[in-house]
Amino acid sequence: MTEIKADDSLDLRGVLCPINFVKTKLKLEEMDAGSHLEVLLDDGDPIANVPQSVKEEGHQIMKVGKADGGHYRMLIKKA
Amino acid sequence: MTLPKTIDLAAMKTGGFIKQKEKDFFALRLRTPVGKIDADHLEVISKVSRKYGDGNLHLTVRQGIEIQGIPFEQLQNARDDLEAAGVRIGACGPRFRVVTACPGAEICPNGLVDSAGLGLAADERFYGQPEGLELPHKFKVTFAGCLACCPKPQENDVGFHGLVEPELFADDCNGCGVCEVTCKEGAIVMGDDDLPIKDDAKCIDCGDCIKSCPTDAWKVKRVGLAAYAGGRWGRHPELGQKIGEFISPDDAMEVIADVLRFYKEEGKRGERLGVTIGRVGLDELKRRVGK
Repeated sequence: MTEIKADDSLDLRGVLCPINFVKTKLKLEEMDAGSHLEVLLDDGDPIANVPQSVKEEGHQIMKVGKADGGHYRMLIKKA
Repeated sequence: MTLPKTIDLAAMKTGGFIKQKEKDFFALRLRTPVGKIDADHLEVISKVSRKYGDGNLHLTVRQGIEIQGIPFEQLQNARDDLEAAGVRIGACGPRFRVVTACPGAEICPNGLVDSAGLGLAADERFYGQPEGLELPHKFKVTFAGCLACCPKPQENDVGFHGLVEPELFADDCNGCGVCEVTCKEGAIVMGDDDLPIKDDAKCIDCGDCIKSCPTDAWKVKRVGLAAYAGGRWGRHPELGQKIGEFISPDDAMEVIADVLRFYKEEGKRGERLGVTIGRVGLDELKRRVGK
């Protein structure tokens, strides 16, 4: 499988719930359908909550993976 | 104090009238199951409060409303105005009380079961009905949509909360590990093959893994209710004990009916269910529930 390239990215390290999700949502609203957004999330509540909320909004989560420093990298495809 | 001729004493005995400290003034308790109130009803309640009461309403800890400061001679008028508009009167005393619940699956993102709908169904079936009258003491029931247990099922005579058993469809899993991070119970660890392994002994069936899974690899195996009996607050608080798991919504009503029957048969006057269970035994209660 070829690696999907993100069209935009958001560094949400240190951003608390639910602001991290709200920022993700606002960023996605600016983007075109079918484009990809990469977000960087903290361990704990953020990685537990944000993917769930993004899923509920109808977007597709293409990939979630561990990043350096205990963070998570999530690739979202806008619905 | 002379009784006005219009007062319906039989109706008063069914409860809902709470004597205030101030002589000849009463608060009128309303029946608002699961704390769900029609906005039009709220306007009627407001008008009745201004017309007959002192303009104050009390929000009770059981999601109810009490109209305060109604003089004794106006109680029947207040009641008539409310009932004419479809606002129902609540209960006090040794009977099945108005059922409480959280908004549940219909409203709350965490909801696993329709706790509000179940609460309304239980209220309809038991409140003011023979099964729920003439009990040893008060009898409180609540429904919680998930394991957060916001309406405190373990503090009620009978309380329920939603449950969901997860099941992994490995083909759909991309090994991201979100479920391992999400699980607050430490019941999921990622194996060497990048597939999650669930420890059933640690899993409490909250469903967080299902909700968080980006690829929907965790799916719902079964949904149901856990039931607790014998909880109470007051001067000797006690948490309810679990009497069943993965009970279906229909069976939940039968659980309440069975516990009520047990309580009527075994309970001593003035004794809460938890005390009865302590005397007769939890196993005996379980033996008589769901038969």
